[in-house]
Parts: sequence; structure tokens; C-alpha cells
Amino acid sequence: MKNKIIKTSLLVLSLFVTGCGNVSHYEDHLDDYAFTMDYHNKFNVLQLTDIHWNLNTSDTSSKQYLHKVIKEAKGYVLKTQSNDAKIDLIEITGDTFMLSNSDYVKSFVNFMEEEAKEYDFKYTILWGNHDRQGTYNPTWLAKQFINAEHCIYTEPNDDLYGRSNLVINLKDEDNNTKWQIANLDSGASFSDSSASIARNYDYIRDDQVNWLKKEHDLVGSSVPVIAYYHIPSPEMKTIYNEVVNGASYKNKFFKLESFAEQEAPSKFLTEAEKMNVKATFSGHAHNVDWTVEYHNMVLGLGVKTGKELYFAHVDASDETKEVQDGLTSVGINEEFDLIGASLVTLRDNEEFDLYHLYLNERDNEDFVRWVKF
Amino acid sequence: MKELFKKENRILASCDKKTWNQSFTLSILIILLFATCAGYFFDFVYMMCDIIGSIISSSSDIALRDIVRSLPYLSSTIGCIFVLGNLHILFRNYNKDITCKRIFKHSITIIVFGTISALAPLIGLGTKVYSSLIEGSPTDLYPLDQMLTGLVLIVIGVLSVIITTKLKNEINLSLPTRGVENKKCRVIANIGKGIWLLVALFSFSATIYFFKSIDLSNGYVFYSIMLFILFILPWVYMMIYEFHYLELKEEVRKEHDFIIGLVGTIISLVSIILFFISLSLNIDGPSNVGFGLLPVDFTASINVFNIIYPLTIVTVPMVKLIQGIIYKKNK
Repeated sequence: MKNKIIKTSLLVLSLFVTGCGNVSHYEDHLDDYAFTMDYHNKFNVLQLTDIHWNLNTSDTSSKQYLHKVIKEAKGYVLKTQSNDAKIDLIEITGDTFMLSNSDYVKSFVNFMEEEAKEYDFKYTILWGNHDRQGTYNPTWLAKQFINAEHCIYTEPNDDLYGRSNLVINLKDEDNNTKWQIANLDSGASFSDSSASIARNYDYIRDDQVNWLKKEHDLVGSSVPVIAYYHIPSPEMKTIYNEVVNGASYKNKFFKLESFAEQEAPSKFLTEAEKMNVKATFSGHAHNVDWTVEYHNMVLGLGVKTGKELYFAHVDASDETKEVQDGLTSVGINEEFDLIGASLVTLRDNEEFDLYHLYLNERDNEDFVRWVKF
Repeated sequence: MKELFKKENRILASCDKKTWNQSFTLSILIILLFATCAGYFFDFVYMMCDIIGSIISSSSDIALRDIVRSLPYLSSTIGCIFVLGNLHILFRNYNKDITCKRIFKHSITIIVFGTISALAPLIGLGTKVYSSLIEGSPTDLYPLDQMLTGLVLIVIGVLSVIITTKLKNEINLSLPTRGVENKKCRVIANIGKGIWLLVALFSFSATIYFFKSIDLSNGYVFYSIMLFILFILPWVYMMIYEFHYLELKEEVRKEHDFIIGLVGTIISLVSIILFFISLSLNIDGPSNVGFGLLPVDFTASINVFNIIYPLTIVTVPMVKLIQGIIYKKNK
């Protein structure tokens, strides 16, 4: 009896100290992470990123801007694709909230639901390094989106690192998966030790890579994948430097600040190639929407959406190389703000088109430019 | 140690009913206002983190836009904290002249910030900063609620000015005097107490929000408990200081500064050591239990909490410990 008490006490103490409860293993319920949507040729995914609603935000004016972006995107696909074209899915790729409260979260969910009804789309969300930085509980935050009618989101309670990991399998009429969209939680930040002063940007952990491989295997290893996560891969910095030093990778758009990339090595991009990942898109660095074609993958950052926290005012008269390279690549010769959205159109032949939308509200007429990658 | 809890060692023990009632009412007002200020100040820190974030990211235009929009809220926060300061001055009540002089100075500040809170919404409405007086966010009635708060602050400020100047000799306050400040290092002491107050205000809100925002579904229980304890200590120390320590007769205080400081320092050090042990065992804890209570850390990517909190909760009792040692030495 005495031994039993000691053993039980030690077990309870170890759980208390290490914080590891008896949670399930993610591989035991892979289906819980998988959603399905009907696929059709020219399936449109609109990426909104770094909306950053915070206590200083006027959600009234921010909603007005977001509405314009969604309306513009719908109008654009109608004009350039077909009469029944629409935005099928909106990907919200992190830092939707920062230093926010539950009223803002509710307001945002209500707004997205109204827009989803009006424009007939589904939306999904993943967390950036700031979304959970609010006065609400992260599980409460998740529930707002899980319970939203038009939102695709789940958060199984298991041992997989992060919270917003899920896949959306786009299936044709014959129930074959034509594309897989993967959302990964690239975390917030971490310290190397309890004595560290600095916090480093988090990274996609090995178990997340393994999880995605399993999800991908379930639908077929040849299925093309588009992956979304918030903090750019560490390789982005290296690839950009290669381009600056003369590498001839196809690249476009702006790189006006650091990528603020994941600060620890992640296996994700190395494994992504093997998983037929066609593209990865992130957010995080508001003054960057630079995109590059690298080893048969397109790696890029989305265009920051909305006017919160910070964004770049691109000045055509600025002679710095980064600004001029960006302007030349997009063919714009006037001053504008680097805010808007990104659109990916998935096609049957495992190919896709990428467009960046720059939308600035102006007194007379809004500035609107679509630029194809 | 028992002397600290004896009724006859408390200042109010020898006071009449009227004095006791006035002190009790004042204490209740201080507690209520402390809670209000704590709520305001937590949001203030959130707003300022975002504003400073914009400045650091070379977007001072966005920072300015946000300051203008949040001005009524920011201004009300400062005004309310100065009202709390006035109540504290009244509670300590050095002597009529000094008390009135200090309250007068604070009241001018309250009137200034109250005026900003009251006028900014109207100016903002005229300049289209707000679409209406009840635009909403961050509160349902924003900015109208802050406009009303501003008006209340103006009334409090003006009344305080009138009382401390014109009616100074006609008001019959029978509050006891709770200790005279040491003239040496008064500026440093006031700055230190100011920092302690701000940490205590933030940590009081953090303690309340802890129950709402901490998510234990992924474990990290040890870390979360220690985080909670570190949030509790600054405002608990402040409450003990204001309502127990200052209530003691001055000679009892001086006699027991050493033991009070020693006990406090030990409690603080043990808590800090346990906190860092919990952190080293749950190194991913901060980013997985919800980090809304660490706004600066996750905005600046620096573990500010791990520096400011241990420093505050150790410094506060250590000051008493040092004062106690000096007193014993000079005795």
C-alpha cells in the first residue's frame, strides 16, 4: 500500500512538473484533422494575412476595408475566369488578432460569417505568433471558429505540436483528391532556456512534418499540396541571398524588410519537396510579399491585409535597390501601400496561378492593382 | 512578530468612531479605484505595446493614428491613476498643508487628462476619427464612455482643487496621520513606488484574467501556478503595505521592518526560484498556455516579465529589510 501511494504520488508529481497529461497520439486519429471541399477547375483561394486587430483598432473601418478586398477579389475572378467563378476558400494566415479581446474576436467571426453568406465561400484560419496574445483563452478562441458555420477549423487535443494544424482535401466528382491544402501552426516564439532574455520565432516541428506526411499519404502521395503557415521558412533568407548574388530563380514582388523567419532549423521544406508540395505561403513580415520559384516549388509571403500595426508605403521615387527591384517586378510606377491580399487559382493539371492584389483606400478612387506571379 | 497583529498597535485603535468611519470609507474607495485603474491600465499596456510596435517598425504615422483614436482611453487611464494617487495621499495624511498641496497638484493633472478624455471624442467625431460617438471597440460604448469618464474626472479634479484651496479650513477631516516620509531619497522612493504601483495594477488585472485566459489543456500546470503566484505578489504586497503596514503605529513599524522585510524577501526569493525551475521544466509553457498576460514579452520578443517581476517582488521587501537593518544598527 505504501509503495502504491509513493508510485501514485510520483506519477502525479511528474505530470504536474512536466505538464504532460494523458493525451492521445495524433497518428491515432488522422481523420479528425482532415476536411473535404468540392474541387473544380480554377478553385480560388484568397489569402488574407496579418490583419492584426488590437485594442486600438476601429473594427468598423477595418471591416470596411476587408469587405472591399473580398468584393474586389470576387469581381476579379468573375471578370477573368467565368460567370460562375467565385472565391471558394479564404485562407487567413495568422496574426488576425494581437493584443486583442474577446469582443474583437466575436466581431471578426460575425463579419466573416456575413461575408461568407454574401459571397458564398468557406474560410479557414491558422494562428500566427500573436493570435493567442489576448485576454481570452486559446481554446475559447478556437471554439469561436470551430462553431462558425462557414469556417473550417479544428483543434484535436493530442500530442501534435501547435493548434491550427489541419488539411483540406479538394475532391472531384469521382471522390479523387485533386489538391490538398495544408495549414500548419508555425507557433509563436520560444526561448532556449529559462535564463534566456531573447525569444526566438518558433518553427514547424518534426512531428508536424511527420503528421503532414501521414495526411498526405492518406490521400495519395502524388496529390499536389499547397501549404500555408504564418512564420516564413528559415530557407527564405538563404534563397533571397542567392538571388541577390545572381541566382536565376524566378522571383517577384517586394522584400522591404527581413523575413523574420523561423529561427531554428525545420525539416519542413526538405520534406515538402518529397510530398509534392507545389507552393508554401506565409505572412508575418508585413513589408515583404516576395515570392520565388525554388526547386519546383513556389515559396512566398502573402500581401499584408489591412492597415494595422505597420505596412510599407512604397515610394516610386525611393532609389533603394529593394524598392526599385520590387517596382520593376510588378510594373507599378506610383506611390502605394503594400496592403491587399493574394489569390491562388488551382487548376486541373497540378498547376496554379498566383496573383497579388494591392488595394489602397483613397478619397477619390481606390488604388487597385492585380499582379500575376 | 505577534506585535504586528495586536489591535492596540494599530493607528485606528485609538481613534474615535468618526475617524474610523472616514478611514474605512476611504479604504473601500481605494480598493474600488485600484480595481478600476487595474482594468484600465491593463488595456493601456496593450494599446501602448501596439503603438510602440508601430513606431519600432518605422510606421510612426500608424502609431499616431492609433494614439489619436485611443486618446480618450489612454487619457482616462492616467486621470484615474492620479485620482487613486489622491486617495492614497489622503489616506496617509501627513499634515493638512502637505496633503492639500499634493492633492492640488494631482488634481490639476486630473483636470488636464479629464479634459482630453472629454474633448477628444468630439474633436475625433468632427475630424472623422470616429464614425459616431458610440463607434464601439475597444468597448461597446467607445468613445462616449470615455467622454463621460473625462467629465467625471473634471468634476473630481475641480472639486479637489476647490476643497484644497478655498475650503481648506472649512473641511473637517479627522483622518489620522499614517507615517511621515523619510526626507532622504524621497525622489527615488517616489519613483520606486510609482513603478511598484504600475506593476501592481497590471498584475492585479493579470490575476483576474489568469482564470479566463490560461489554457491548461496541453499541461504546463507547474509553470502556470508559478506564473500565477508571481502575478499575485506585487499587488498583495501593495495591499499589505497600504492597509496593514501603514495602519501600524510608527514605532511598531520601525521595530519590525527587519522581520517584515526578511519574511517578504524569503517568500519572494522562493517564488522566483520555483518560477525559474518551472520555466526550465516547461520551456514551451509561455507560448502554449496563452500568452496574453505577457504582452510585452511576445511583442518585443524579449522575456521582460522574467526581469521586471522578480526585480519588483524582491526589491519591495528588501527595502524594508535594509531599513530594518539600518534601524537596528542605529538603535
